[in-house]
Parts: sequence; structure tokens; C-alpha cells
Amino acid sequence: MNLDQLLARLRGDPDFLRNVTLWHTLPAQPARTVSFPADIDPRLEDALRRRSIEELYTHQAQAYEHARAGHNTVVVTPTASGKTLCYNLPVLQQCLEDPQARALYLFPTKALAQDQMEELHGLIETMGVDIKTYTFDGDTPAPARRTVRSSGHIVVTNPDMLHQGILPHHTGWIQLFENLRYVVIDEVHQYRGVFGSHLANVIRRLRRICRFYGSDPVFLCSSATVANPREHAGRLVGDEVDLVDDNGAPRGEKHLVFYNPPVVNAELGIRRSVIKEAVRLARPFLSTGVQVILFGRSRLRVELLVTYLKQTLRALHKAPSLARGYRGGYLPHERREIESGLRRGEILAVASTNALELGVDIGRLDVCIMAGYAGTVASTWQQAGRAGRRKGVSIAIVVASSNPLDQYIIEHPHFFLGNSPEAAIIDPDNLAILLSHLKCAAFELPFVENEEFGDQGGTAQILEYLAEHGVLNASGGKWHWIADTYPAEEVSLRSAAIENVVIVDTTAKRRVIGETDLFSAQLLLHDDAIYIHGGQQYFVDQLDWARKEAYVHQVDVDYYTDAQLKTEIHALDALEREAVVLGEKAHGEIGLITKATMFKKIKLGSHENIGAGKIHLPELEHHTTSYWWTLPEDLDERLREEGLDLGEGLKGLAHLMGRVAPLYIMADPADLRSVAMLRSPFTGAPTLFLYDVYPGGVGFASKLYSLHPLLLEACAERLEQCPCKQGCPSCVGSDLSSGKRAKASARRLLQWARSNEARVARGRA
Amino acid sequence: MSQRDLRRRLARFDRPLAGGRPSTAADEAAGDRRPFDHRRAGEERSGGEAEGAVGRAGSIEASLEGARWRGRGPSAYLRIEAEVDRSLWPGPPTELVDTEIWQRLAGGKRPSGENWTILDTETTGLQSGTGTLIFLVGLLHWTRRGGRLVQYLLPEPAAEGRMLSELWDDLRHSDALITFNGRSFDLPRLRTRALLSRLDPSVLQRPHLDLIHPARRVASTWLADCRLHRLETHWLGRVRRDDIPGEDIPMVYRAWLLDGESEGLIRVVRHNRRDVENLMELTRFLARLYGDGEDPVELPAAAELSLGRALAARGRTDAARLRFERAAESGDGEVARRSAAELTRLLKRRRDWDRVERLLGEALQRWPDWIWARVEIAKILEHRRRDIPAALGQVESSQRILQRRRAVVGIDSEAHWREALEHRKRRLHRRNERLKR
Repeated sequence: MNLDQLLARLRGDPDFLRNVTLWHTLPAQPARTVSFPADIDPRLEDALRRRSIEELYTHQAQAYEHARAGHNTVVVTPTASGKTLCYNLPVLQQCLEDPQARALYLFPTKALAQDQMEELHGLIETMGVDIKTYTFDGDTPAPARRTVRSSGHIVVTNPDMLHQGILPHHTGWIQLFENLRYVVIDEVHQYRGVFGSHLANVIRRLRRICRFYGSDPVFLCSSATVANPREHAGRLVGDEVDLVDDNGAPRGEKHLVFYNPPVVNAELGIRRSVIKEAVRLARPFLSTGVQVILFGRSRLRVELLVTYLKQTLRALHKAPSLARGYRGGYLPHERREIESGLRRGEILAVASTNALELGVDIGRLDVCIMAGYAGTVASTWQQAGRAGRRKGVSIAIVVASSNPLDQYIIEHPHFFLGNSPEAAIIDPDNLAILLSHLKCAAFELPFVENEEFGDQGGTAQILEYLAEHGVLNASGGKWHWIADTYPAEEVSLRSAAIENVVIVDTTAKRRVIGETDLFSAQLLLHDDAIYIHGGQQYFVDQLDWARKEAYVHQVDVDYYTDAQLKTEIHALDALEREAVVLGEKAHGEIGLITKATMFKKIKLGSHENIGAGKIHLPELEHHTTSYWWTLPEDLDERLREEGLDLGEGLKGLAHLMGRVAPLYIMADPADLRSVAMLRSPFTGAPTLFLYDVYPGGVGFASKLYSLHPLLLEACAERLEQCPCKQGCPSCVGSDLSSGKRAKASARRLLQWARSNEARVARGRA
Repeated sequence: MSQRDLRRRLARFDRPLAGGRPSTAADEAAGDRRPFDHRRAGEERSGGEAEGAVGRAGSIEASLEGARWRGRGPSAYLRIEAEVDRSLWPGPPTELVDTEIWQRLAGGKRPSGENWTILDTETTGLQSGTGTLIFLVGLLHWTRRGGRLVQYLLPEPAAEGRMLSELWDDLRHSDALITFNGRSFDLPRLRTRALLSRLDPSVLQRPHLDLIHPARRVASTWLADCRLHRLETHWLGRVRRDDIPGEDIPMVYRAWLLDGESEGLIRVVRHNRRDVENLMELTRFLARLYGDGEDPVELPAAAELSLGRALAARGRTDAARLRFERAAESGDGEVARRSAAELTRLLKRRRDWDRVERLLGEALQRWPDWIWARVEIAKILEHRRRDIPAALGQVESSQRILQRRRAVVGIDSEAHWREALEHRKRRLHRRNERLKR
């Protein structure tokens, strides 16, 4: 049976259709093309023709024009629309015209950089010209680095390497910086939140160094669909950016299906497990040998998907090794092997986190199943883009989990299909991030008087502060770095955590199998945890917090572990506050203490709780930004009069709000946390906090502050549409965690918050 | 945002402060703490009033003989000049390091000019990258007539550009540079800082003798490490008193900039002066060590061996042979055996087969179980003497040795030998058959 026939069968299957809330068909689209620009070098044109490119897609031609005119440009197109040519074309043209010209390519990961290299090499080889293209990353051997520095026309690297390996050594890269004409930043939507805020500062440093060497490069960016590509790219590169978003590439017919697993217990609002449903839906495709990619939101979910996929393959009398997992934490060679296995068709099913959402070359697959909503509209389209060829039909299925965000999206397909409401948010002027990059910048070149770094002013004050602390020295109108450190080394772009925990498998002989940041380590690698890696379970014998190493050994058990996190909020500083219908909203800075306290053992398959244990780890402390909503103190009494409970209502609302918020901001649910406090020591009143996980925050708090009414609206809608009685994980959380009166209390709070009734109530009290 | 708010927030977000002290509430309160005030310092310095920061800068000048200010204002720096004690001066550099010795120490052709410069820098850290500041440069101009010591000290970083440009003038007149680890440390940092001051770094491209390489070759098998202090103690018999440990130097300079603490800085200047003086001494020591005359110190056998290897690598086979012979005689056990092997290789390359055979014979007297020597003898017997049965005899006795060793050790750790011997035996057998026919 081929894919068309499988689709026809699904369309006629009432059991399947009963759970489908959206079946959206994107018709096949023909290509729109134009002939090559007049000024293009004949060698380049000839090479393209020899690679069967006879004309350019309209967006490629537009991008070329903008770039050639010296305008910063962002190209927004879906996966596989020939976006790389949008920047390769102007860059190669420049190199052909001026052999001195240099270009720098930035990719979010090493893997993407490697893919890009192959494509560039191919084109250059076809031209038969001497344009030297090199990757420069952690794997580049020392002897080769000199060559890259002095003679690379196109240097392909990643932001981390630019930050730690290139900018602080700019005097070794004179050829590059004196002649830098183009900087390519691929997948800019990936640079949001903390990563994006860091990158914007790395770019500030890059431009500062370029100015020193007298160059002024043009930035060429590409992005997936977000609400604000032009604004986002502009903030990233710190300048005006032109937008090209008229996609001229062809597309095969594509089906997008929203599937909500059936309710198995209406009382408790329990639906069938998203993981099992996703694997069940994959089965008919697997049995006919159609390659399937499954996406899971968390590492744990991916590992569970792999486990169940292997079981399914066994049941189909196929080799379990045809199913593989792919996520961060796997070592690079493992990933390369999986990628090539997919391209060659040796792997039938892969379960991945969003690691494969990026343009890593795994060839094109026919079927994509998302076990849980990808979190953002942009990510969903990117993941769906993994299935689909230029010709022929493809299908992407979103299977909703019981998460309130998933349930909201699955019930509101129009929200999904409408204009993308999500903005990529960064805050390059986040003080913690700005400060660390200002140090790096001072190390790279002394600051001169009146020089500004960032858009908020105050650079001189920060420099003075650093001078007082013996990091800089002010003399002769310059600020010199005088500390005995290498500041870039202390700043990690990917997370706030500087340190990682290394995972050591001691089963046979000591072998490092991966690493993870401190925050995740306290949840995943505490003593007695079951850590899952590559579908293999490991028992954590010891987490050595001082040495930052976790010792594990392989086991085969029928449960997994789930750790509980205790969070304390203290020391607040409101930046803005405003009275709202009910109470007051605010945003500002908070101090946070997190501590993993205990863990539950949960049986695989039935998901029942079969035991628990204590976690003995030190607290982690940091500062960040938060949005908070303070409610009037008298609400407690008012609710009690109605037989409701403020504590339960707040807890439920916190659960709901934290999970619905990503509808409006491009945040990972893991980037944002919510806490309810019946009496906050700071506000002295019942307060609900939604805070940014990263130190210093990256702009979510102020955005949520401005979205307050929309947020309440979405919460209320979700609450009304949830079929459960007393609350479930899809709305206010299960009654076990939030309480039996959580749903009713939360509903009442939302009613008051959205009407004038509350004022009346307060007046009476 | 007000200045006070910004400062409070800075302290909050900057807990892991790079290289600085951790900020505390006390720090926040101490709002009046001010860094060294360059503007005041600059104005008053030219006036020469001994007060505040300038007084401290003045006190360096007073404590260091031969120190003179260059320039005025914040971009002024100190130039400290002294004649090198005649008793230290080892004679003209070109006589001490003749063409042959230069070749042995540095490789390549010795410069003909006679103005050589020993160079050593002190920096704000050991980090690579652009941000490491060079605040003190010591030069020993070593010429036919004697030695002249010049140091440039930056009381403040602002003077760097002017200081480097005077240094550049000095270097332009220099025919050769001598450093200790300059290739990896001092020169790349000078190059970087020069580029930041928009000076032409090509000035640094001149004949360069980096003493660390010839020193390390010998010291690696002899001393715990190859730090200059250790070489001074063990080779030059010099012990520094009241010296400042190298790792403290960045901190001392920071203390000077922050609090005007001058005592440490003066010690750094003296430290640097001793460095360059001792490098002249070390040059003399290494020149003798690598030469063919009497050794300046008694060398342990292991050092003879590595020195021999260093000389052999430079193609100095006669000098190398001498070292190997001494190491083979005086050393015991492993060193002597490895020296004998080196010697054998050297003689083989010279096709001195008689001596090779004699050497190997003696070696087997000392170490009868030495498979490598037996195989070498077997080769000579086969190819030169054409005595196939005798060659076979050596191979077979080697095999017996292997078997015995294997029985004792219990594991087969010499599989490569076993295979090689088996292969050789088969070949010899074939050859033997052919000869018989």
C-alpha cells in the first residue's frame, strides 16, 4: 500500500475521524521563477545550470537584489524552498568579483554548518574557482586553524565559536575582519530568548571589531515563519533589515491533521496517552515501510517513543533497530550515524526532540507525527516540514497531549491557521547578558570615552562599576581590561548555567555518554534516578555535585522517575505596576531559589505511582524577571462564602496560565514557570508569578505584563471548554495536585477578573 | 533608570565577577571607592608633587635607579636603563653563539649582525587573546661592547601605544631576539597589542632564538619541569631571594592600578630584570651544553641521551654519537639500552657495519634477552655476512626468549614481536632452501 492509499483509508476511518479536529489540505503549488539577474558572473550562472538550476525562484532573486544593494535582509520561507541560495548567491558573486572579499556564516549547530559546507563546496567545485571555504569549530584541528584564519574566503562557524574562539582572538583574523562583506545568520528564529539575547550581543561585539578594522558587513538572515521576522532580525543584528517573504518554491500536496486522543475518563478529564497514540498512528505507515519521523517535546518523551516504537516493530516482525532516538545529549558521532541512516533509508522511524526541527540534512520523509503540540506555530510548521517533498503527497499529524496549551490549540485550529501570533522575543539589554558581553568586548578592544554598548545607555556606569571591581582600568580616555581571566570562557550562549554535569556510564568501563546543565541535572540525574539515554535505562548511583559528574549504570526496570521541584521567590523589585480589573499587575526582578526535593517512581505503561524517594541536593539560586498578578486580600473570604478556596483556585490558575502563555510568546514551556503564593512576602497579598527561567530574564515578563487581559481571556476559554469536572492536567491540573475545588475557584476568579463584579465584591467587603 | 538603581542591579547580576572580588553589600555601600585616578595622576605627575597617586608613581621612579619618565600626562611611561654588570657579561654574543651553535640551538642560519636583544615581558595574565596587557618589557641589548638593560613600565595602560612604538624602534635595530618561550608567549602577545595600537607587527619577524626548546629537550628527562626558575637553580646555581612568584604578577599590577600599591610593582621590575640577565646566562649555559667542549655541569645519563637525540635531529651526528656513547657507558638499565639503540641507528645510517656489529654484540652480553638487538644482528648476518643459519639461530633464540617471557608474565603482550619473528624465520628458511639448492 502506498501513501495515497494509506491516506484514503484514514479518510474513510470513522474511528480516526472522530478524534480529528482539523484536516487541512495545502494544495500543490507550482514554482514561480525568474531568469538569472543580469549582473551575475557567467561562471556562477554556468555552475548553477550544470546543477540543473535554470532559473531562480522569485524570493531568491529578490534576496539577491537586496543583498547586492547592501541592505541587511531576512528571508522567510518554509523548509526546503532553496533558501541557502538566497545567501550563497550574493556571497559567491562578491567573492568572484573581489578575491579579497570575505564572508562569515553562522549556524546554530555544528551539524548544520557541516551540511552547509557540502552544498557550498559542491557549487564552488562546479565553478572550478579558488574560493576557500572552511568550517571553524571545536573540531577544527589546531594546524588547520592557521589556514582558516589567513586564507578562508568563507568561514562557516557557530555563534559559540565566534564568541569564544574568534572575537577574543580577532588580531589573528585580520584578513577576515578587514575584508568582511557579508555575515550570514541562518535560522534566526532559533535565536530567541536567552540564546538570541546572547547572540545579539555577540553581533554587537562583531560589529565593534569590524569598525576597528574598517569594515561594515551586510547581514543576510533566514528565518522560519514568526510574527515579527523583520523586527527580530533587526534586533539581532542591531540595524534595519529588509524582509523577503514571497516564497516562489513549488510544493507537493500536503495534509495537516489535528488529532485529539479520545477521552477515557470524562470525570478526571483523562485522555489516551499522547505517546501511545502517536506510536499507534505510526503503525500502519511502518508496516508498509514508509519512513516516519516522530517529534516529542521532552527528552523523556522521546525516549518513551523509542521504547514503544521498538515494541511495535517487533510486533510487525521487523528489526527493533529500525527505530532510533535523536536528541541533545547524544554524542556527535551518534547523531551523524542516525542522520546518514535516515538519508539512506536504513532507519524506518526516528523519534526526536526539536533537535531535528532544524535543517539538518536527513533527506525528506513522507510522514511526520508530533507527539504533543510543538509549542509554537513556527515549530509546528518546521517539524511538519520534515515531511513533504517537492512532488508527491505528505502528511503531518499533531497529536495533542493533555497539556492545556495542546488542548487549546487542538480546539482552536483557526488560531493555528490564522496569522502567526507568536513573536520571537529577545532582550539584548538584559543586564546580566549585556554585562557579560560588555566584559568580553572590553577584553577584545579597550572601550573609549563616550562609547556605547547596547541601546539602553549606561555603558559608562557599567564600565565604572567594573573598574571599581578591578576588572577594568580607566586611563587616558580608555577602559582597559586588566583582570587575569578570559571572560568569554565564563559565558555560555546557550544557557545561563556555566557549568554542566558530565554523565559517566560505569557499567563496563567508565564511558562518558553525555552531559546536561545543572538545572536539568537536579531533576534528571539525582541519586537513584532512572536516566534514559538512547532507549537504554540507567540507574544513577551518584551525582557528585562538587565534581559535576553523575555516575550511572545500565539497568532494565519497569519504571521511570519524575522529580519534584521546590521554588522560593524572594527580594523583588517592581519595574512597572498597574491596577487591573481585579488587583494589580506588575513585572520586575525577583530572586529565585530552586531545589529538587523528592522524586516519584512511575510504572511504565500504566503510569501508576509505585514509590518515592528524597533528593539531597543543594539549592540553586539566581535572579530573573517575572510578571505577577496580585489579588485583593479579601478574596479569600469572598470565595469561602461560596464554598470555594483561594489557594486551590490560585494553584489551578498558575497551572493553566503558565501553559497557555506560550500562545503569545515564542517561549518553550520550559523557559517559563508559574508559582502561586497565597501570601507573597513581597506583595503581602495572594500573588501569581509567571517568571523567566533564565537569569535576568529575556523579555517574557514585560511582554506578559502587556498581554494580561488576553492571557485571562485564553485561560477562561480553555477552562470552559475542558470536559472535566473538577480539574485535570488539561486545565487547572488534576484534583490531586491542585485540589477538588480548583476548577470552580479558578473559574470564579477569572469571572471577577474579567468583569466589574469584583469591584462590587470588594466594595461590599 | 537612575545610576543608583543600575549599580544595585549590577551587583545583583554580577556575582561571578570575572577575576574580581565577589561583590558584597559592603562593596555596594562603599560608594566612595575609586580606581586610580588617571586624570589627577597625569596632571600632577608632570609637576612632580609627591602626593596621592602621583606620589606613589613618583616613589617607583625614586626606588629604581635609572628610571626616567617618557612623555607627560596619562600616556607617560617609565624607561629604566642600566648597564649590565661587567662580571655577568659573557662576551660578544656572536662569539658565544657561533654559526654552529646557533644551528644546534635554534636551527637555521645565524644572523651576521652583532646587536642581539634578550626580551622578556610581564603581563596582566597568561590568557591568550587580545585582552592580556603587557605592562612591562625588559630588554637586554647584548652587543660586542657589553650589555645595556632597558625596561619599559606602564604606570597606566593608556601609555601602551607610545611605549610600544619606542620598543618598536629598539627592535628595528636588533639583529636577533633571544627569549624564553617567546615563540608561544611574548611575541604573539606583542604582536596582538601592537595591532591594537596600529603598529606594524612585522618588526617582530627577525632571527629568534627561543631558549625554551633546546632547554626543554635536555630538561624533560632530568628536571621536574622546564620553568626558568628551576633551570636557574639547577643549571646556573642561582637562587633568587626576595623574588615574586610569576603567578602573582598579574595581581600585583592590579593592586597597583587599584590602590597604588607600589612595593609589589617595584619587585616585579626587579624580577623582570633578573629574568633578562639570567637569560643571558642561560644562553651561555646552553651554548656550552650543545657545544663540543667541556660540559658546564655534570649531566645525568638520561640528559646525555636526550641531548644526543636533539643533536642528531639537527644532523649533528658526531656530537650526537659522543652523547650516546657516554649515556650508554654511564647509564644503567633502560637509559643505557636506549642509548645503545640510538647509537646503533646512528652507525647504521653511516654504514659503519663493523662497529654496529661490535656494539650489538656488546649489548647482547649486557642484555641477552634484548629481542630488538638480536633481530638487528640477524639482519646483519643475513644481508652483510650472508650467514643464513647464524641469522636463523638468532631468530630462533629470540623466539625462545619470547616464549619464556610469555610463560612468566602469563599474557601475550609482545604479539608484534611474535609475528615479526615468525615472518622473518619463514623468510630465512626459504632463503636457506634456495641456497641449498
